[in-house]
Amino acid sequence: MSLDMSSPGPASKHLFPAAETAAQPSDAILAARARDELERLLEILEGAVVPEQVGTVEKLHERLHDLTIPVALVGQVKAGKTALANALIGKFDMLPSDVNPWTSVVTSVHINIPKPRGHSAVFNFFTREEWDRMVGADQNMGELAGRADHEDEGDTIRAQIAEMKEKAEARLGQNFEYLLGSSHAYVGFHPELLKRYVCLGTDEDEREGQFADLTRTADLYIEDADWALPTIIRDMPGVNDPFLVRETVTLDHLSGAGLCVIVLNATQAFTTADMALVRILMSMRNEQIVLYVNRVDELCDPHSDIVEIDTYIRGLLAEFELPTNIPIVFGSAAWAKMMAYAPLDDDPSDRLQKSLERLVTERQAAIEPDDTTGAPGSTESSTRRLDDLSGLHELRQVIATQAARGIAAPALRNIARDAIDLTQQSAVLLKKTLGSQTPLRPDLDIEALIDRLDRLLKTVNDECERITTTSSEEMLFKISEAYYTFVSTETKALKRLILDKGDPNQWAPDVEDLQRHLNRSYNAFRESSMAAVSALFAETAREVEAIYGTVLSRESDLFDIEPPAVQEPPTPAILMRTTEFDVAGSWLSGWLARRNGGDAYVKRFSDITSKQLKATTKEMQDIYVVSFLRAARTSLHRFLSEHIETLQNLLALDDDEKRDDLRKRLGVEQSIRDRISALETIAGALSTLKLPNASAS
Amino acid sequence: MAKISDDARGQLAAWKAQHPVVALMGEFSAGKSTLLNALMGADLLPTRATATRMPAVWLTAGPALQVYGLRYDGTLTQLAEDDLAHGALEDYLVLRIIDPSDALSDYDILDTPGISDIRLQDDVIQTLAGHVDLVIWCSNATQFWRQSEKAMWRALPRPLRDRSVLAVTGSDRLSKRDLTRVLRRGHKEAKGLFSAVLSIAALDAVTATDDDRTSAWETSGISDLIAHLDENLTALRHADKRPIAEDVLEPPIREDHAEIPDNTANADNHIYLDLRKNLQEITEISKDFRLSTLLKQLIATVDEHTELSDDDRNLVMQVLSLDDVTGSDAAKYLRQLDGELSDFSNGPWCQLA
Repeated sequence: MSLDMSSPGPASKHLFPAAETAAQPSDAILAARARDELERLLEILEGAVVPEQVGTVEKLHERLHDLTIPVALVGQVKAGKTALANALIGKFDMLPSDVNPWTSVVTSVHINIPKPRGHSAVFNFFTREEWDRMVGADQNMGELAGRADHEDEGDTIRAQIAEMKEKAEARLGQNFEYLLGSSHAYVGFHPELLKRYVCLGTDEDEREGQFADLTRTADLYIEDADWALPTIIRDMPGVNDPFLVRETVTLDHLSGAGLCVIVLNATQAFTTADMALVRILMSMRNEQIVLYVNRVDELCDPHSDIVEIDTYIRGLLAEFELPTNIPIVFGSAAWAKMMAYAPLDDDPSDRLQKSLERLVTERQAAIEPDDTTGAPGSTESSTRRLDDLSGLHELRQVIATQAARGIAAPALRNIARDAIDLTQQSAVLLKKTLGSQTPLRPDLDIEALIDRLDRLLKTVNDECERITTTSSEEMLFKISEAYYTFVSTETKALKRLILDKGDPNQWAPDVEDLQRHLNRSYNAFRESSMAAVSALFAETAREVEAIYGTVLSRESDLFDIEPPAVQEPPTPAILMRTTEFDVAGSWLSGWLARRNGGDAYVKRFSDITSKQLKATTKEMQDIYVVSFLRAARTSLHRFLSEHIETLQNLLALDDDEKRDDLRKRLGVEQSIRDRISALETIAGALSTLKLPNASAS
Repeated sequence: MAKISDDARGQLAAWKAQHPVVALMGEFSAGKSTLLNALMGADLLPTRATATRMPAVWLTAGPALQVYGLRYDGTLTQLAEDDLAHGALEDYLVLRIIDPSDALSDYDILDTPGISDIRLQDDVIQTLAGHVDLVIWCSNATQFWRQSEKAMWRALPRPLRDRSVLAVTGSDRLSKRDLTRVLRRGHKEAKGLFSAVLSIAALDAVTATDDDRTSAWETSGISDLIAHLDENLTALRHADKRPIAEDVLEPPIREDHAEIPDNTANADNHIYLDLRKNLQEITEISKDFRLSTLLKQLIATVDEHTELSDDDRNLVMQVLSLDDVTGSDAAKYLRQLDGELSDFSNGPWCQLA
């Protein structure tokens, strides 16, 4: 990045962040330090544990290395996602963009992540299966955004994909088959190379998008010291593009997208399509959402418009019962670019410079000297700041903080907890090898112990199933009750309307109320099942503790056992769907309906509803309840199997021969003592690991 | 959610019968009000960065400035001029402004609420579209022609679309090269959906004073736009009959026009066409509320169709025999007939006959 500040405009200084108040390290730095510390501890741990557990430590190491922060830039077509991606990575011409929408590829910029086999650019092509899956994708963005004729969108997408595939096949001929499912990798990359793979949409230059209709993802690797944690910035294709394939690709990548920055256009902030994105993310339980209102440089009265837009968006969030504390950052990727290359070549009439001056003047007049700017992403920050007006620094801060608290901290905490568990198990084993007397209680009944473990496994298994069944039955009961209430209330309303010879268009079933009830039922399931499973996990941990108590002879060898974490079940997409009822208006509006007698229509209404009820309950049962149960069982089994292994090792030590064998492998007594003391130190360090506060918002 | 009453629809139909109507439509904040202000040569409506909760504004020519508000239930009240800027206007479906401006001498202008506004009721635009002759669809140059726009546009009646213009607004925000590329895409996308694509830089025009307005209008593209409106509306006026009912009755076209079976070419459909012809006459004369006489004519037409089986004829007759039709119900009955006829044309009777 070349910083040419030789002829900056008078307002340009307002683009830079004010000097940092170096009080406390940011959450991102805290998380990065914790990660490094954890890495160091795991390395020591690997040398200290018993040989049988080295593999487990390696797995923890892998989990630590895989910890990356995914950041997705999503938004409507031409909202400025690519420009923002470039600004965030500080390479303003890296990702190419155009005045017309032209990418259908998810471009991931991997920051501070090792390159795969030295390649810094990898382009992956579609496989046949992925293509077919996209054709059959069931997405409801059009419905949520209330687009006219959204029922027909599925057909349009299929036609567009078929056409795209045909074109690619015709152009690439034989190569088409070879390319499917393969990838191209490069040691270096430049914008022209990228264009060949990601830029679809102009017919002018064939070479430009040579492979674009075949490319599924582009992965680029860069180093940047500004990012404390390894981060992947994903530039997603725009939604609400008439080329609906782009929207489909983006929605396909949203689950597990991590932190999502929704890029809005300040001149048309927060439309039905933007709201639909927020709702889809919320339905995936993705609460890591940041709004970036781009293009404030295009506002007529920037300061007062920003105040108005901020109020407008937060008002809408409140009205739709969405969290109102979502960070909203105002800015301009164009100003950020100007900050790096002042003045800009493509701003001949100084439009950007003038708009920036205008905001500075307006804001200086509007704010009081003792106004404070508040936390990044807050209303106070958006409407009072006089520095960093491109919003770039603030956005980076918000991303880094949210990622550290919401993504890095919980993951690090889990790894640390598992590592502590491991040190304790290893320490017990090591101490036993030292003891001259037998480490186990002399009166230990091994048969009984095995029985007990077996029973525990079975009980826990059954109990998991019982909890899930009870909670899910309760939920399904509530769901059908909600449907029943809905049908009976609305049938009455419909009958009354027909009797009164009213206009059938006046009949509007209260679908939102039904949805609220359905969501409430599912939330009740989520809460009760999670609480019950947590209790079961805690009970299991206590039982395992008790088993150690029966095995080990000395009180001092006993240790606390942390229960595994409970995974939250995802929110089913079906609860966001109301298609069946939305068409009620069109089938009902015929005048003949009334002539034929309303009963037929009342029946039709309840038929549609019961069909929907069946579909809902089946999907809930088959997918969400079952997956919750599976996740709970998996973590329990992993937990139990590790402890069973340790117990097996302990029992094995009861055999003098085996103990001697292990001692031989571990070295002399002094080295075993060193290992034990190392483990104790590590356990201490792990339990005091300093992490950003995950609960703080 | 307020429902648009039949009385309100009747009022819109009555207004439409008076003058040709040009509507400004598009996403919210797409430059509709800016363009309106430029056309009127005055800052008539506030322009905002967020979705306004401004109702549709129907401007018509008259001797002195007067403002009326039409509510969803059809009641019409006179408002003070001040209310335009400061009043609580959310309860109105349409504001009717009578304005002496020359700009309104040939046609009324209807500024509609922007689509994609989260708070906008979804039937408002469709309803308004049934009462206009030509639309200027405003699409912002920087985020040109999105799916939400395309979907809404395709849901509107085809004859209306065929006369309408796609305006690329805020085109002064793009460089010449970029604008050329956007327009190229515009022409491609608009094929079969609009009669023309024009670029508008309305901001220039609105700041121009009266003296240099002509040249400002030239450079902003407004002159071209007005020429286009004149041409299309003249053609419309010269048509034998104002096809009012046609717009309303045209069943929504969902997919490519080529694939839609052409009703007029289908001989089996002539009953439907006869009925429609009669209905058009009813619409014309319904302003005099002599509906029962016309219905009798219509019934006679159906009765004469020997192709209809007795059962089918009885059913249609039953539908058509509306007793005691009084003035206030006329619009309602017309609408019911409208729906009836669409059903009839798609339904099994038409195929049977």
